[in-house]
Amino acid sequence: MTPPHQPSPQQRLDTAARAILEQLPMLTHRGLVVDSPPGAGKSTLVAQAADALAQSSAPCVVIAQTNSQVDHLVRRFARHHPHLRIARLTGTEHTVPDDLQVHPGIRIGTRIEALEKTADVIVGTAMKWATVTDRRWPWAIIDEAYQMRSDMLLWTAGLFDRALFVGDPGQLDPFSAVETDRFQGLSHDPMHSAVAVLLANNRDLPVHSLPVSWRLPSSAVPLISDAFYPFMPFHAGGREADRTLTFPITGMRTPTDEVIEHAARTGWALFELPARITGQLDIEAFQAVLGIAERLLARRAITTCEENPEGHVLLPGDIAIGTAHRSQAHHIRALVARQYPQLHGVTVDTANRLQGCEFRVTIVLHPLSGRGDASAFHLEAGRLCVLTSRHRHACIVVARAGIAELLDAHPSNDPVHPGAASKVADGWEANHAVLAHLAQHTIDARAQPGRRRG
Amino acid sequence: MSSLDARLGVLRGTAPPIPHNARTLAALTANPSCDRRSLLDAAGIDKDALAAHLGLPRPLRKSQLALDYGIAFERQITAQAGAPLVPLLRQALGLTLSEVSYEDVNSVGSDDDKSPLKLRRAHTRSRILSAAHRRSDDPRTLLDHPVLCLTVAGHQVYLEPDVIAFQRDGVFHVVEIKSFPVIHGQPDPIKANAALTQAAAYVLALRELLAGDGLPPDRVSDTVILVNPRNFTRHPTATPFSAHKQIKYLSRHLDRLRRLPQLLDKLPPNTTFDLAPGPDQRPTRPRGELVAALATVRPYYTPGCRHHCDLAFHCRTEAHNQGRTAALGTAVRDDLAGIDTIATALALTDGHLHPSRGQKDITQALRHAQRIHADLQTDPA
Amino acid sequence: MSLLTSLLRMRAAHTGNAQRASQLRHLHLSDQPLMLLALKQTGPAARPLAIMLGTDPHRPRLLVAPPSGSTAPMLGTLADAVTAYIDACQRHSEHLPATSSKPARRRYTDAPQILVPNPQTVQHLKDLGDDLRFRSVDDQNPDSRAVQRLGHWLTYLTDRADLPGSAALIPMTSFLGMHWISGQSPLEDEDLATLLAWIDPPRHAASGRDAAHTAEDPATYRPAGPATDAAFDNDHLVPLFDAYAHARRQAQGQQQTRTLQELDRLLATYMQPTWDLMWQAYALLQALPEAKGTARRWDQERTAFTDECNYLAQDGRPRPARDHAVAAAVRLARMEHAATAFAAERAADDPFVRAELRTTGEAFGGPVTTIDPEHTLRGPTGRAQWRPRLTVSTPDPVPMEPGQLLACHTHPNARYKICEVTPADGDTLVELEITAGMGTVTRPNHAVLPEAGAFLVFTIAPDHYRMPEFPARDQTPWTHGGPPADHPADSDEGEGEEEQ
Repeated sequence: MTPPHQPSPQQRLDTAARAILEQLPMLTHRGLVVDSPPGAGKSTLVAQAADALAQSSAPCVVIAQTNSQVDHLVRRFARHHPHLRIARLTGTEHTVPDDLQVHPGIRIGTRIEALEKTADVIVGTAMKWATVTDRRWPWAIIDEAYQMRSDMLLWTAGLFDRALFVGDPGQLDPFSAVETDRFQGLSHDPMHSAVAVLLANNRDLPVHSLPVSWRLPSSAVPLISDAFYPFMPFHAGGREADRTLTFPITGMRTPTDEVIEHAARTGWALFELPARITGQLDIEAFQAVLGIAERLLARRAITTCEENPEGHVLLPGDIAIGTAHRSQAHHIRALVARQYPQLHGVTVDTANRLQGCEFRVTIVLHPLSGRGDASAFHLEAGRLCVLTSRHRHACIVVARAGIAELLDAHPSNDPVHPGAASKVADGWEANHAVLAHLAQHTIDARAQPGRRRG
Repeated sequence: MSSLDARLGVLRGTAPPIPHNARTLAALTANPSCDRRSLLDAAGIDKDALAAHLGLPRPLRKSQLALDYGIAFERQITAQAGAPLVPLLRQALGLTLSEVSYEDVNSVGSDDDKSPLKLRRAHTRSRILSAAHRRSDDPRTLLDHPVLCLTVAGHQVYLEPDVIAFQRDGVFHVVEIKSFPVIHGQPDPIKANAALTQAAAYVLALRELLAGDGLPPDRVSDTVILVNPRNFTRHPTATPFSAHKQIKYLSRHLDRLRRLPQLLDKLPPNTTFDLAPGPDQRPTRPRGELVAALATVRPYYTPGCRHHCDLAFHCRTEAHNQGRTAALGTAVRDDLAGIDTIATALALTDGHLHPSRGQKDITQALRHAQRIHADLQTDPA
Repeated sequence: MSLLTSLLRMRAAHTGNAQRASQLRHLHLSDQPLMLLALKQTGPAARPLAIMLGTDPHRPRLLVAPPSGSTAPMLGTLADAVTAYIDACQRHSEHLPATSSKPARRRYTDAPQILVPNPQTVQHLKDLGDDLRFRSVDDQNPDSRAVQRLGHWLTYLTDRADLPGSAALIPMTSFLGMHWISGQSPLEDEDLATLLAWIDPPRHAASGRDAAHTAEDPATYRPAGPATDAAFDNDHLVPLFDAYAHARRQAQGQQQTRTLQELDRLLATYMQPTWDLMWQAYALLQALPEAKGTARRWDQERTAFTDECNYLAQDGRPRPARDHAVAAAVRLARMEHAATAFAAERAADDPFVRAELRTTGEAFGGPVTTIDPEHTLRGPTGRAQWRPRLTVSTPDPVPMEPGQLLACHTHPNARYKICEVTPADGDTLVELEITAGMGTVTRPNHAVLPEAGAFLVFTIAPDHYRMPEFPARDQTPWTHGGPPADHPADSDEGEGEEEQ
């Protein structure tokens, strides 16, 4: 899907990014890592860097992790860098979106031979690039490098002399369905992210970070930065006064209306349902989530921001509903299809699938809601980070009461491995931090109008 | 004696209290929801003796062979004024001192092998503070058998770390000697976690000591050094671990121990776990009374309890008798979304019980599973 | 874990007897497996205390290591026993004709299969392998080569055990757990004695639960190892160990021998119950019919075994202590591939596995209501493509999206794409398009087209998987530290066996 906002690249490119671009051609190291917090202009940087590198040593190879990420990047190149000849290297099983297929500046091919001679930039998934052999180019850009498993980097590293690695260290870690303990402690653990392995084996590589989130409102940045990026603080690019969320239609003083009004004022709200262990399928919570989305649209919420100072009426496509489990997303989508025609167009998906996306308002079903105990999956910092950092205006969390107790009851007997503290936030700690923050923004779903806990 | 102490004393009876130690503190984080365990530990009750009297398997009983092996390894490391330890720590911590000063607090002010805890604690305190303030020309770089104090639920608990190392740049490190092996750089991750949680108690105690003198917590490193046998030998190896997480967990759970008075308030009057030892030291209290007393405090049983609690088999029997789903493991408990007992779950499945509003979805799923299984029996298609 | 297994676990707890899960055996079971029980000495990392092994239920062989001093003689005997078993698997080989990717070659008709009580024993053997394969070989001492080779085989076997679907080294508790569900927790299921009591209680026991309870009696309970229990250590081993140490100090040879004989007797009695349980479990498993994919997986096992024998003959250096970058990535890819393939084959072969998947939302089943065998659509190039369609009506929840590719047990190579999911009073209608396996319009494979009314179960199709081309070890890229130093022969120079 297309992110709802496409500010001009210049607007988004801050000084840190510019400094990185200037350094790139003179780089003496073989690689450069750029850590990017949510919405810090990562894609802009990737596009600009590819443009710059294509000038000196075409073609520039761009490696992303999923087909939708690749299609995104290709679209961005075509729109903002029309002078570049873009090639999209794709597998046969993926259908490239129509708008890209018909675009005159984009060549699409399943074999590198058909593309390499005429392109300035070639974009493909790591999986597809892994099938390309016997070639080597001066430069590659690896996007979403923290989502890339290091074994995938091993298959593709032979394709380039130097590389720019760009990614968000706070998102979900790579995953495998098999037992991978035996790799623990290896500097080249195939389960670690490409960046982790790269830096473990090349300790002198320069690491930069983008210090400004252009997406997150100033209400969200302190929490997200402290809870999920303790080693990489960042600040908000937008001014508080520029971001507003208002309702021209008066509410009905129900808890649902109260929750959206509170979120409109403060950027956050927690809609708390009575404590109950429900498992993954909590129909009451699903209805609550959808009820909130419905009220946001019914009251014709208007947002203003730096790019829309005159105001924008909130549309279904501006809203995302995020869940931990696929079955939850599926159920909510089914409810939308059957009972909420007015919500058609709202994105409903899991944290995994929402990585890298941006919306005006997000409604999050808390991963620990309705659970009897926490598990590593539900506690993972990256999961909560993705869910609570997709929004430009407000994030509304829906949860059953009792999560604080659940966290306190969580036994700390996870296996540990040698080494220094991980650069990744600990899920238990991050969950506590988010919950402590939300405590001041809690609306009781059963409360009488006007009464608020916390 | 505070009234809290008095109340806990009644629970314990005549036996001397078993004080908290790093191991029992570590157990706090292994099952933080268990009120039964919290209360018994706070009262200093000998859970192993209780289990033995109840005729239960004793899952935590120590093998003499394991103890001997551990002691021999530790002796080997701290022999000759810590000589084998010094090069290891120099490497693990980057100690730059050419000569390292070593002191064994055990031998302070006494000809005995072990001086009294209080004395050792006072001595440890003065040595640590003097090193921290650099009062001495000769900073004690290694302190063996130190004794620290940690405030647990308002009580002073003595803790005995293996070694504390002090670095020239002013940071203290906790060093723990453990006899489980590190094979090709990897220790058993579960044992390593237990060791780090114990070390976390020492880090907190050390920070408490320094805080008393106005020194900041970061003077004690989050990085803990474990010294273990390397591979299949008895040669030691030192491995740095981050105990950041264990320290956070433990301090949060120590904070929660303030709930003790509420737990005590819930007990019926005259509740006691006193084994009432007779003249021959054999317990005389009837088992039934103890079982009834245990039943007054809420447990939080999981099958994993046997790894860290002496009473695991008692709680298991209780969970079985009550038909609790938790006795069947976390997967079953998770799948059943809050249905506590097997009988309820099966009655809902078989249609003998009408689901409440909150049970509708899980009941539907159970009945669906039941139907599929029934089809399988009749028509294995 | 599925809701179905949770339900069966509750039924077992409620009735007091284990419930049947899969009735098909997915792992090959040899006619002559090597049964192996191991005890380790409490304390040191991987010092063996005793090994009981053999292929004959009535004639177990017991090897005991002395409490202190060298374990070399015991390990030498163990090495000979294991090697003899492995050698026997190399007696016959078959000819495999050349394929497009591989030249013609020979493959052994058998492969070793070792059965151990539990996953902890696998870990112990892995540790032992890590220790022994780096032992130095002393030409004066023929045992030393055999011991090193034993280390090599233990590493090979324990590596195979990490691979889903491999039958080279199987922990019995996991094997039983595929076919029966007990009324205790999965953690307790790792104990062979109680698990087997649930599954196959003695005739006099009122129920599996009662039998399990009896099996736990501290007075008679014998853990299956490799750790001995503290009570046994303290009450039985410590006195003997002390006596042995004393006799050794005093150089009383006779007394030493007597103590060792006593230790032998003690351990034989300690291990015998578990030995009998292992064969009881073997008989239960042997009675199960084999699933279709089992033989094919055993073929792969034999291929892997043949390859390893060739490696030993041609190179023979010990495998490094830790995988280098390429090897680690290759291993992970193989493990993931094996897991996917094993899951897919089990789903295709076994109705119980499909039933489980129906409760987890990874499969649905129901009768075919309509079929449109002529359906065609226009491909991207404008050419007509034959894509027969069918509709299935299922009572199962279908948490899948259009576009999802499915497989069906009746034709494992065919693929079906979900076109539409429509809820219809209670049931769900799923419209499917056959995308692979039906042949072409000119050469159709009509067998794939089901009859209306046929009951089919569709499972999520495994991802089309192609092993990426691995860089050679000496081509390890700079991102992963470059090519590793040459084959590290030894991780612990001069640290072979020592007094412990």
